[in-house]
Amino acid sequence: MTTQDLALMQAAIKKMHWHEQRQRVLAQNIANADTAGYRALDLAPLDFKALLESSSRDIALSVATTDPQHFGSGGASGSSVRPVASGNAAVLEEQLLKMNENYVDHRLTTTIYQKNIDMLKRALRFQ
Amino acid sequence: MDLLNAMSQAAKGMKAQGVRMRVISENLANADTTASSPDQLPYQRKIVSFKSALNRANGQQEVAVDRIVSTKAEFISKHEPGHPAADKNGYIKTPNINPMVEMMDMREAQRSYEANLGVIDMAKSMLMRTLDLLGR
Repeated sequence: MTTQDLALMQAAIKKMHWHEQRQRVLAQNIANADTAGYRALDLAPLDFKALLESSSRDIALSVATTDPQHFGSGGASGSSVRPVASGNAAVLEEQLLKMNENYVDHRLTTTIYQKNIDMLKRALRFQ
Repeated sequence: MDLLNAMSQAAKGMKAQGVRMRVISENLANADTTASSPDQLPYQRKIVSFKSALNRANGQQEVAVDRIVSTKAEFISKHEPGHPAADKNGYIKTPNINPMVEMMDMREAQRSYEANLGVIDMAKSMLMRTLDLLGR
């Protein structure tokens, strides 16, 4: 067993991946803020609770998806999040606000990950 | 790598705003450029239009400068007899440039540029934060 098998770790990694993808989508919106006819995109919200539950239940082995065109074997792969049109033109302030929110959430996730590692290390020291 | 893609996306945006800034400075610098004879036209105000083009390598809608066009607005007439470009009534045509409008446009370009710079800054912090996990 490695740390990767822990449900919380797995969920945290997926959440970090989601935040990275969201950052990319928001960067696209901001760069296109002055493009006529451009519609702002955003990712569908991430349900961390569901993600945590699904990764703690799904311990069975699954085939790795190494290419975005591969079909997954049921397990949620990182590339399954697709940007969808958020319905309005890219407003600079709104996008910057979203980006800040994304940054704070990403920071929270990395902190959770770090604390978890610290906890495991502490437990190992008393062996 | 999504964060690096985010940075390149923002860099494309900065480049496009840079072109816009160049055209604005061209307009401002030529605000008083008149023709040298009555049958010629003075400098015409130029504007930049952007488009978003699909980058097939990473599937992103990247911003690019579509084209730089001259605007069709009316020239401003001034009474200045004796000028080489003056017509028979003594009027000359001066460029259709309003410095105030150009200043506003410049501010807008600056704000967009700063926003893109902010994106790079944040993407970098996120990346560094993730890399910091390595050191633990």
